[in-house]
Amino acid sequence: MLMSPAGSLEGAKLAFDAGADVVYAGVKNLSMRPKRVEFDQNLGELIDYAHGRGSQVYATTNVCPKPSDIPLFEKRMAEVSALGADAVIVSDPWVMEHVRDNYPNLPVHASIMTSVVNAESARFYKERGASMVVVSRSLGDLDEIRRIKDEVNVDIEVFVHGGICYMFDGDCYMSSYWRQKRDFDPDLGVFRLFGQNNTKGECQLICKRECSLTADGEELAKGRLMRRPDDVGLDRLPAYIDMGVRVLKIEGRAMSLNYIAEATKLYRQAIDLYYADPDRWQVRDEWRPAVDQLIEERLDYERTWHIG
Amino acid sequence: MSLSIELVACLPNKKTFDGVDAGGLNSGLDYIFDGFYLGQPYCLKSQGNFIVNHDDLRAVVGALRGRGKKAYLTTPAIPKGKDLAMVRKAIAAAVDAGIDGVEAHDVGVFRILRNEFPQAAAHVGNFANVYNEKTAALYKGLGAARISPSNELTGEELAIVAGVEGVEFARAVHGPLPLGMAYACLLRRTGDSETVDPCRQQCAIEHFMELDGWRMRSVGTSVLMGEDYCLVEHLAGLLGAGVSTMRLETYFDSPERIIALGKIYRQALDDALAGRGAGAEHVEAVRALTTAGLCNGWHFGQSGREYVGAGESNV
Repeated sequence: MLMSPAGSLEGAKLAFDAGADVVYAGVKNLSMRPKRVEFDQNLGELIDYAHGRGSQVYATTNVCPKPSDIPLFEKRMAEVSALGADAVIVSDPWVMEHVRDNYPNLPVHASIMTSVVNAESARFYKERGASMVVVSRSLGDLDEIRRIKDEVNVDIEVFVHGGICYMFDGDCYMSSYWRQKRDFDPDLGVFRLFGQNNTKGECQLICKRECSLTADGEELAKGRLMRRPDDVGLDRLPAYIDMGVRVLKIEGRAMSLNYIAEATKLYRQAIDLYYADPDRWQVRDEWRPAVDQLIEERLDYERTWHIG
Repeated sequence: MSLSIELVACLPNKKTFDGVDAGGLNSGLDYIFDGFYLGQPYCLKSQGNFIVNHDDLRAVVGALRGRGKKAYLTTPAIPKGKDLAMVRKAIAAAVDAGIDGVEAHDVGVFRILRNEFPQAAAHVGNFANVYNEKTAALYKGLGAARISPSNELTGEELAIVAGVEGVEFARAVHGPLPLGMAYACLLRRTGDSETVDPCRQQCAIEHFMELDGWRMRSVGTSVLMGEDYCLVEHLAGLLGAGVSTMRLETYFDSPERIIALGKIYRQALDDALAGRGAGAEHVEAVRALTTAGLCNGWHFGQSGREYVGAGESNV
C-alpha cells in the first residue's frame, strides 16, 4: 500500500485522488507535527470520507506522553477507536498495551519514533500489541529489514520519500535543549512546556541549520553539517515490494498540498509500473524533474524557518 | 522498599579504569564511587570500548567486585541487527564475570536480557524514553530492576515517574548529556556528503558545533550538550523524589577529571544524605573544573542550556 501524509482534509482528498491507498493523520496534540496540520473534530469526517472510497486512515499519536498527558491519551484513544480509524501509530509501549487491551479491534503500529533497527526490537513491540512496525529511516540495510520481516512475522512499513533527520527518530533532544518555555496552552487549558520534540512534536529543525564545527578553537567545517539530503527511495521500491513490505510511506504532513499530490502521483506511478512489468522496471529519467521539484519544495519549507 | 544510594560514574574502556584506579585508589576510587557503568553506548568503534573488548570487561568487572564496588555494563544506544551478536557476547562475558546489572537503551537488547540472561539485573537506559509512570510500571512488570527515565523530564515529572514502587530509579547528575543519536558519525563524514571516512578516533578530541550564538558538542555518532550538566546543588531534591542512583556521565572525561568530579559529588551527596543542604562550594568546585559552563538541562522546565541554582529551585 502507498501511504501519504494528510495535513488537512483537503490534502487527504488530493492524496487519495493521486493514488494513495491510505493516509496518516495526526491527532490533535498527540502527533509529531505542528498543530496546524493535525486533525481534531474533523478526524471522523476524514475517516468516513476514506472509507467511502475504500481507502484507509491511520491515526498518528506518536509523541511520548509525559505524566500529565496520560488522561489525554486515554481519552483520545477511545475517540480514535470509536471513529473507526484503521490503525493507530504510537511510540510508547504503555500506549501500545493500553490500546491492545482496551480496543482490540484497533490495530497498533509501532511508530518511526521507536527507532527499530533490529529484529529483537520489533519482537518487543509485537509483544506489546503492534501488528506493524515502522522501521527506522536510518536503517539503510535492506537485508536487516528483510530479516525483521521474516523472523518476526510482523507487517513492515518503510519511508520511501521525504525529509530525513540527522538523529534517529525518537532520540533527539536538540530542540528543547535550544529553546523551551513554560506557557499556557489554550487547547489543553493548562500551562505546559513548549518546544519539546519527543513529547510534543515541536521540532525546531536544529539539524537543518547552519553550524560550524570547531576543535581547539579552529574551525574545521561550516555549513548545514547535520542536514541530510532528502530521502528519494524510488530505486528501493522493487526490493521493498519483493520482500513483502506492507506500507510504503511518503513523509511530509507539514508540506504543501502540491507536494503531497505530486509525491503521491510519482510513487503511485512507479509502484504500478513495477507491478505491471517487474523485469523491465527501472528508475526513469522522466521522473527526475518531479523529484527535483519535491526537493526544491522542501528547501523552500526550510527557508520559511529562515535557515536555508 | 529500602534502597541503597549509589554514586556511579561511566568508564568507556580499561585505560580509563586503570587511570581512575591508579590516580585515586585509596582516596579516590575506593571511597568516592559506589559503582561504575562500563562501556560506551554511542559508538562501538570508540577506542577500547568494553562492549567489544571482553577480556578487558571481565578483568575490570572482577577487579571492581573484588573491591566491593558495583559493576554494571551499558550497551549500545541503537544497535543494528548486525551488532547484536557482539552485544550478546559482551553481556555473556559480563554475566560470567559477575556483573551487577546490564543497562539496555534499546528495547531489543532489553528483551535479550530478560529472555536470555534472566540472572542479570536489567536496567532501562535513558534512550529507552521512559517519560511517564505507566511506562515505568510496564518495564518493572517486564523485570526491570532499575530505570533511568528520560533526561528531558523535569524534576517534578521525575518524582511522579519515580513514585513507581519496586524498581530503582537513576538520574544523570553530571554531563554533558546526550542530545540524540546520529545516523552516522559526523566526524567521519566528508563535507556535507554521505561519504564516510575511516575512523580516526576523532571523538577523543573535543569538538563543538556552534549555531548562531550557542553550541553543542559532537562526538561523532552522538551530539552532547555544549555545557556541562550539573545537579550538584539539587541532590537532596532527587533523593526526595525517589532517585537512588546518581550518575556522572563521564564517557569522555580523563581519569583525573572523573576523580575530581567524583570527590565533589561524593561530598555533596553525603551532605544531602545528612540533611546539610546544598553548599555553594560544591557548584563552585564543579565550575572550576569546566571551561564550557554549566547547565542543568530540563530539570526545572527551562531550555536545556540554562543553569538554575539551588536558590531558584522548586524541587
